[in-house]
Amino acid sequence: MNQKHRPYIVLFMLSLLFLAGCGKPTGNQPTGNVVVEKEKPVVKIGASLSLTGGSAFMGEGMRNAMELAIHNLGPTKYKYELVFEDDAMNPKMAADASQKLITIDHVDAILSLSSGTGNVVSQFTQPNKVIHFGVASDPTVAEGEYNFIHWTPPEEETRALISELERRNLHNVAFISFNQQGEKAIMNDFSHRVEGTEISVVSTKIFNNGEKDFKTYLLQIEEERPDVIVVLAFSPEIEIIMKQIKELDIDTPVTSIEAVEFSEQPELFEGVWYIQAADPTDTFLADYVSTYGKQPAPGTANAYDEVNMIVAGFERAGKNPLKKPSTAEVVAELHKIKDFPGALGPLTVPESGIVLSHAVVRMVKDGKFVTIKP
Amino acid sequence: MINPYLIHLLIFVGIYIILVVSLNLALGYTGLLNLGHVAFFGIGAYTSALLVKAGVPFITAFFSSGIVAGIFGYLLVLATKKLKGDYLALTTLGFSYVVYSVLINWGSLTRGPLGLPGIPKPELFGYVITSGEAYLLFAGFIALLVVLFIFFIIQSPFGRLLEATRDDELGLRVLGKNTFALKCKAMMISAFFAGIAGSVYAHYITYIDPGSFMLGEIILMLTIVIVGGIASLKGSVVATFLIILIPELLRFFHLPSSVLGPVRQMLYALILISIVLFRPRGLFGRIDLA
Repeated sequence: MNQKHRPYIVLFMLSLLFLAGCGKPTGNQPTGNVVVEKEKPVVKIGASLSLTGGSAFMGEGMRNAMELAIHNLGPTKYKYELVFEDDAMNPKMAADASQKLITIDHVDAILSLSSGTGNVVSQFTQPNKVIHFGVASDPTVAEGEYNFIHWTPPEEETRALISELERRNLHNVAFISFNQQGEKAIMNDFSHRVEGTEISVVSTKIFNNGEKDFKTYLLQIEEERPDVIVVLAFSPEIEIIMKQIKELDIDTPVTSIEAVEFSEQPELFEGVWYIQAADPTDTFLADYVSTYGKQPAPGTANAYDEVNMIVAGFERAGKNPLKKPSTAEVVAELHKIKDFPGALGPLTVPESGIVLSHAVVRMVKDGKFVTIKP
Repeated sequence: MINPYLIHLLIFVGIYIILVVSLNLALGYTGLLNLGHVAFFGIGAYTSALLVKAGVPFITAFFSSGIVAGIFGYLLVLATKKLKGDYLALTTLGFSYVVYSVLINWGSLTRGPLGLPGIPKPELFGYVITSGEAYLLFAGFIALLVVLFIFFIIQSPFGRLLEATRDDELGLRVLGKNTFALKCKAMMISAFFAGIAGSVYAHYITYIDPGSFMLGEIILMLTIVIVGGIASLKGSVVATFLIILIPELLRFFHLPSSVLGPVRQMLYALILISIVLFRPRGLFGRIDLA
């Protein structure tokens, strides 16, 4: 073989291999990890999740919950299959994953995690009439009739925070926040809602990815004499902030929205109250813990609900057990969902496509996360 | 009929061909170890997206994205006039971080970490490019034009001067050539096409955020250039197909997620190590990595 031509031959062989991979699955070939039954039409639910990288714990939680939801289904008209793709919470990879799910796996619905990837997935699901549920805080993810969001929205969480601040008579609020989508949405909504009330934002410090020294921010915040410091961050920054607050002998109370439960060191937050997205029900918690031996991650219960709502949509829209309904018919059924018994309590799907769920007030007691105001 | 998933991947191949071929012009042919290429890509994407969202016609936004990126290319060469080698690499990497910081913190313009959703599809002469096939034609046509343009550049006397700048800058200056002007032109052309690639990317994916234009992307571009061969257009094109498509094959193997991530990274590493060990000049390269 001429050495000069070797790279071309390798490229040609790889192209053949790739094209073979892109071929349409035939007959009853298994897709994902579930075997197709011949008798029932198959409804495929795909997921573009962060199964690798720093947010993999959330993607893994959602995947577990989706499998649990399918496992717990009773008798159904249709067969439900799951197909998972990894997007590492990267928009470009989410585009690859959703294209593959739509055009190779021919899924009927896709679940996504995060606003960034959700915004990309929604651009592909809408024109292809594929149902999309995003665990996202950015409302633009729900634009288009086929796109939905199931995540307690920032406005619900800030409403709960303001209500708790008023109850505790805390008026001067300081924010120290990671420069990220969800956090930004929370702060924008908070500032908007407290206009004209006794509550005011006396200081806002925003830090970027990679920062580790927060002492300057904290000392500047202290100069403004806030009644409470709201920390919006992920691990490990949230632990570093808490340690540095203690090192600086700052005795101003600390609270947070969601961030506390991202920490793997809850002892640092002993006695801290905070706002959390809707609480999973005891039944779901018990079921999940007994199956997987660990607590659900943020977004886990949402994925469980999303699968169940999609299944409910198909089952209700389907008139003929030998032919699955169109996704347009399923979307119409999804919009009729009211007080659906979900893992996050009763759920309602309004016209906006953003599923309504309620935020709760929780506290860290003896290293455990305890709901003090459902 | 081609599968839409393959069309989607080929569109990305087209975008990366524009990026990598233009990077090779600065890095391979001129010897500028530029790690700021990803910043030009981001500048182009944001320029085009913001202009079109503000009501500017796509064609104007498309060329503006290249022009704005080109201007930043000129400023970067100006700022790094006396640097070369590792020092230039570090400074240009710093430039990428500066651009990232501006994109993430200039919230009123860029929406910061929220990113820009809903970027309209391109509209050319009254025709909106919505289908995958049409977009592939569009991206492929642009990629072909860029490859041809750079091919003619490197075949021209100007291209030979660029290569001479890379090989013996002092010698060229002794002959009375203004090597700074040559570097400026090379970097501006390179940045212009990176900006154009940003525009094609933004209007295809319809959502951009600052995280899409960071270190991971420049590593990917450099990997493609090294695998294809430094100062080789043919190598850049072939390597783009390989590096973009091979990781996608993993999606068909249903690997557990605990294995998938490391395997993906190992694939890149294996390809790079194999190239360094067995073909130090890359698949089609003409000069050594050193």
